Amino acid sequence: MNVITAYLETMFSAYPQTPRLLEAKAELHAMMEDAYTGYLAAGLSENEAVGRVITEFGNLDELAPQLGISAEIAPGSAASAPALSATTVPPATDVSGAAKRPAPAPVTREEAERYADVRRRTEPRLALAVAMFVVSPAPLVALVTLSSGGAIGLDQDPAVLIGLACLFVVVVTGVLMVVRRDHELAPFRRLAAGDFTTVPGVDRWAEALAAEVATKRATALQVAIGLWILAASPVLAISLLAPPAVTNSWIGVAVAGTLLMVATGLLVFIPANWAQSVAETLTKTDDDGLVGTERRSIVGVVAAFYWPLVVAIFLAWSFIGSAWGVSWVIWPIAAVLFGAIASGLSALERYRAAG
Amino acid sequence: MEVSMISADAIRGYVDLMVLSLLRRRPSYAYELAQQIHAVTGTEYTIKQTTLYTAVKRLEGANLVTSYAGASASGKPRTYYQITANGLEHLEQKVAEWRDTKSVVDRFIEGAEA
Repeated sequence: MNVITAYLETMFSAYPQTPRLLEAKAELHAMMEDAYTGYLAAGLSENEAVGRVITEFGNLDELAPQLGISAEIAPGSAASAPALSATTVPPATDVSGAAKRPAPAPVTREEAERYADVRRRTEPRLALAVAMFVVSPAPLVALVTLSSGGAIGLDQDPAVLIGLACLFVVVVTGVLMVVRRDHELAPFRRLAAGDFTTVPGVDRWAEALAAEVATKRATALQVAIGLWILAASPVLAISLLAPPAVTNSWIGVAVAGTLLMVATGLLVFIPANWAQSVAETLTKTDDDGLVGTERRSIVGVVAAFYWPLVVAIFLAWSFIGSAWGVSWVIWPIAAVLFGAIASGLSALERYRAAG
Repeated sequence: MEVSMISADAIRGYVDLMVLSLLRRRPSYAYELAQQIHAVTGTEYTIKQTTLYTAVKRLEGANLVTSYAGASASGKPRTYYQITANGLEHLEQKVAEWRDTKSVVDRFIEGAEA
């Protein structure tokens, strides 16, 4: 009998002595004692009876949901959990929930293909929207400088008004396009969030997909970076080569040209990047310490934050400082900076890929 | 047909059903329930004590059985379990579900053995 008591003490010693646990221990002790007496009465020897009782004891892991000791139970015991949760009655307490969150569902090949398809279809729309954000201030900058330089017969106030109207129409259209794309991608939100288990077959498929269009993507990136670097040239050319009077009127048009070149670069690069981005999402290649979004089409993501921010700064400066004649200067600076950032990021990406 | 041991995992989901069926006849305590189960199942299945204890506590938590303090013939304190109205209703549902499950699974098994 002492052997049974000692056995129970040992089994329970790993857990905190809560009232529920002590109650369980007492009742299990009573059950074992009864069983022991029963076996003795059936003619078994003491040793045999103890052996039988201990064989029939079972596993303390089973008690975890009832006793609130699931957190203390070793992870190795998780294998017994599914059988338990399949029982006919919900557990008495819900303490088991937090400790064993089930692994997310695996991504199926079909789901991956549909996701890739939607990305391929909608990526040009994203590119167009981002490009529109970039060019949105172009009419405003061009009109304001043209009117203040006296090159067109338009006062500054109507010029600002027309330019702002263009800016808002273009920005709203761009926002609507992004929202519609988000809506189409909504069924795949868990993929974008990384809330899935990777499957080897799908991994390979996604990587092959990216490899297939890798050359095209590299070319697009080179073209885009070329455009971004050259984007400063209209502003530089007109500042250095034209007489001051011409420069004052036409600098805004040069800025618009700069923005157009930046936007064209984005329009070339973002649609070519979809397969790479899909592959990075599906293979979760964000395990190198970088946040997932940071790696996913870095240039595109930077552009999506960078340009709206520049627009906001431009508008704030222009309105608060009433500085329409000067504030355009933010655009060539932003464009050159963007060219530098984009080149730097893709160099980093190549370095990472090589390492 | 030779007698095969039923694995604990296979039957675990039905322990609740077995316990409720036994308690429908009369209130009982854990060891007695274990004995009754053993008497019915024989060598095919031996219920572990932790499995049984977990089942009655789970049923109690779901308000399908209630417990009360009783004593053995020799005066030893014992926790007795009694089925509740909810428990009877639940048992009825589960029995119907089991019959359906059994019928569906059997159709596959017959296919597999044919």
